[in-house]
Amino acid sequence: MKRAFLGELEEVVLLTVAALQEQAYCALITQTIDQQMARSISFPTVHTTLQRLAEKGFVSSQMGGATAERGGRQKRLFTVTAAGQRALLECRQVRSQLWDQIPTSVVQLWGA
Amino acid sequence: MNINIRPPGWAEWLMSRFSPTGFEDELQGDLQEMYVYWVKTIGLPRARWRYVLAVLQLIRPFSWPRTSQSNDYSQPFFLHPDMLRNYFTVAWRNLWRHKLYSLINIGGLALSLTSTAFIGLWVYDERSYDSFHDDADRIYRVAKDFVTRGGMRTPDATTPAALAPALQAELPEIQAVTRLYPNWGQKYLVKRGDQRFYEERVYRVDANFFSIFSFPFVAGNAQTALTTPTSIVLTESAARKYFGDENPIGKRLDLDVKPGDFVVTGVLADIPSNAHFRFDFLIPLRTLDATLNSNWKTYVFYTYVKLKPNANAERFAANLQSLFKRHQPDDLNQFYSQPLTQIHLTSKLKWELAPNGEQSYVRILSFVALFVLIVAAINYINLATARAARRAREVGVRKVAGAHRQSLIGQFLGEGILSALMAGLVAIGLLFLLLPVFNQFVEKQLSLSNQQGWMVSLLVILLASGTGLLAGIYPALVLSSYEPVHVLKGQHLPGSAFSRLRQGLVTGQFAVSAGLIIGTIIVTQQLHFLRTSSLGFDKDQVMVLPNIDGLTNLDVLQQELAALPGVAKIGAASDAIGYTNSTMGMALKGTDKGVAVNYITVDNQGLAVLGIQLRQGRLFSTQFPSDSSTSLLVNETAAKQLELNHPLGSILNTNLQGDYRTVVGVVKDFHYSSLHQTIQPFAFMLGRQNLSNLLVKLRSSDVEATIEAIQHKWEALVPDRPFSYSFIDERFAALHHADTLFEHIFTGITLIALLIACLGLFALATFMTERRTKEIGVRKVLGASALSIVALLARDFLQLVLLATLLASPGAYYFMRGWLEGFAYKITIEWWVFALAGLLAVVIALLTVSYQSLKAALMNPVKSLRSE
Repeated sequence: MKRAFLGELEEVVLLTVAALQEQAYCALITQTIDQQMARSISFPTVHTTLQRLAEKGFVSSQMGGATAERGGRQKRLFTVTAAGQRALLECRQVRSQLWDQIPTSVVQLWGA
Repeated sequence: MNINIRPPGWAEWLMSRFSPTGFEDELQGDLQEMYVYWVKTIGLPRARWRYVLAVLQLIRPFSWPRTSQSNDYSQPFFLHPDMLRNYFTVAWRNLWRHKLYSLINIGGLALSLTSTAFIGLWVYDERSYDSFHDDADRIYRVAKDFVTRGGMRTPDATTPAALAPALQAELPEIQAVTRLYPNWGQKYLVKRGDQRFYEERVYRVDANFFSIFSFPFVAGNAQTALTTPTSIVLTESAARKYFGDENPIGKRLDLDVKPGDFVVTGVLADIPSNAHFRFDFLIPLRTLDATLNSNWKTYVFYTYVKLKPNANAERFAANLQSLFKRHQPDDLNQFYSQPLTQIHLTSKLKWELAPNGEQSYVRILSFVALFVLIVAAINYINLATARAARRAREVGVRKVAGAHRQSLIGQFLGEGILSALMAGLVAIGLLFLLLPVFNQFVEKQLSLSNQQGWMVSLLVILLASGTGLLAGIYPALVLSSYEPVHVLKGQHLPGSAFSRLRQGLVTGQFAVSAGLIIGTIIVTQQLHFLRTSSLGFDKDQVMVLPNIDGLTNLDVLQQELAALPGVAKIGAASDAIGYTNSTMGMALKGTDKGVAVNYITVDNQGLAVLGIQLRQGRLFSTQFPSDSSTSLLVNETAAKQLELNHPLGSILNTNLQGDYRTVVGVVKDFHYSSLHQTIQPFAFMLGRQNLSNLLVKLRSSDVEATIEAIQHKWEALVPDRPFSYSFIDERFAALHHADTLFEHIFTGITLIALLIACLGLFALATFMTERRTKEIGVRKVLGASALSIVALLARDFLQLVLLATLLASPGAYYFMRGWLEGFAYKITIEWWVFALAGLLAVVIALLTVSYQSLKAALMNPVKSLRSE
């Protein structure tokens, strides 16, 4: 079967979902990306990306965790599925493969 | 958390009303959190801004849940976008998988729609003559039957000058009357500066010409255009010829008509091709030196009348004759009126201003166009039903998946209409592309610009959809009725369900084709007859040089030309044979039974040049100097109708006014006009006054050089008159021009119809053979020969084709006999024409079917039986 392609934005969002573990819901994901990556991705974009990931089967979701801050409304909590995990691992593997091909001396020259 | 930090109320409301289904709670909650976060990080104003933006992006219809959260397996509405997409996909796959059928189907329909539209345009144009005038239905032409004492009638379009003023004064139902005086063969020298041309299309008209005819003005206006005696009105192309890009209004133009110096007062748009008379120059009628308003005897004018609204046309026609009787009690001529718009197709009088069309051609071609459409529609229906039978399984699956019968009917109808519409679009493209070619073919200037183009396109689309609908109905109804359990188990393989219908349709199709073949054979035969039948005189290589009347050095010119090596004989005549001739009433001396006789005046050599053959007596001769005033030659018909028992020596009153001449010879009957007309009485007189055409018989060697030599002589001897010439045989060809054109169109459309029918038959044969592959395999295994298999496959079709020929014959006979009735001299329709047409249809069908049959018969049965 053809490997499902993971776009850069999708990768970031999926990674964030993984990082936040049980707490991943749309607003928090947006804020986390905003703070930790110093990168402002709009809320609707994150929302759409999450749906796309769900469609591809990389995340699953369930409702829960209504709090007062949100006017007692439920959150949709996302978790990374097995397929999502595989996709993330594969992604990292491909990258590190490429990293490994760069000679250490060169990487050191870059100041790493 | 400060509860007062609230996002903009209207945005909140929007979000609560329009959030995408399934996401209402989470999105509102998330957004509220985000708002607080934004206020903290980027401040209130920008937070509000972001909130609004986010809401606008999230609400419906700008976002839609990407995955259906519902477990909704209820039946979708059959026009739901997803269902429509599915129909399209399946329809497209079907078209694509059977490329040959699709091509034949759509191509054939497109071809026939194109031909039908072209013929339709032609018919429309023929029927639209003169209808562009305002109130065309109230305009009439006055014409008359020329009646002799003997009761002979010659329908004739000319009227005397005095008629118009009398009509205007005495008949209250008339709004306006106008007269028209054409050039009567004369050429006018038109000069402007150093530009000099001879012009023929110069008409003289009454000043109120434009109160009846509404030719549109480009410059000037209808009220003032012809008010002064020196006014001249040009058409746009004539104006361009003399004035280039200058504004011609008020400029002078010199014409060799008194007073000579004309002033341009108006420019008309070029006369439409569907006008029954066409001109380039209009000058006032007053320029004629004639007693215009009191002359009841000279018939050289055309009279047009516009009635008042609500006037009774029948009463007008009756009043017309009684008015004439009041003024000319002794005259027997019968006056009547013709509706302007019907002149082109129905009039056919003597002295028409331009050749008329043929009503029967219009009628026949309308039917033929309809037939071609029917043939293609039958094809379309046949192939669609044949193919639809293969889709029984699809219907089964759709039904199992829950399709209603209505939705299946809708699907098949829609599919039929859609692919027919594709054909319609192709046809419209072809129509615009091929219009110049067609125009050249039929010698018209049809146009598809503006309204007409839209109308035709709309009509093509409607016809296409209609065909598609018809093609869709039968499969839609039959296929949708199948029980899924039967078709899916393969118990009920449909196919025979359509075969009865298909046989009927193929028969109908070949009936049309056979009918057209019969028609083509008869048309070709008749045209061949027209071309080859002897006219009774020698029409070949006789050159006519007009413009010699009143020439002082005519004898010198004749001698010089006769001396040229390429000239065999030379003579002169008042008119050439094949052109319209003058008519006079003649009677045997002592009787008053007048007969209308066509006559021309010739010189002593004229008859020899024309090769007129003598029955008895003698031709004119210089040995009898008195011939010019006392002698006359008549043809056999004249001798018979004048009841000359012993023609030679009979004395005729040649103008019913006392000009007595003796018949010195009787010539054999000859055709002096088209073979549509019977031979009428004809006479020759000898004279010098009216000779206006030189007749030059050329030797057959190097005609080009001889013509050049003649031109040189002419220009040397007659420098002030234009050199022009025509040939009598070309003139006769022109008389049958409309017939030749009809032959071409008819043959062309027959070929197209045959092609379409063959395509359809070919596709059908392919289909039928394919269905019977296994059967043929089994037969071969059991020992059938290839020949018997071909016979098996072809027999069905051949029976149908023979039946079709039988069905078509009576109709074709009826139509073609009607067509032949338009000819006075014609072939008889023989039985073998029908046999030949049947044979041709059979051969064509056989050739079409045999390829597939042979292929099937020669195929190795292992191949067809191997897989199951």
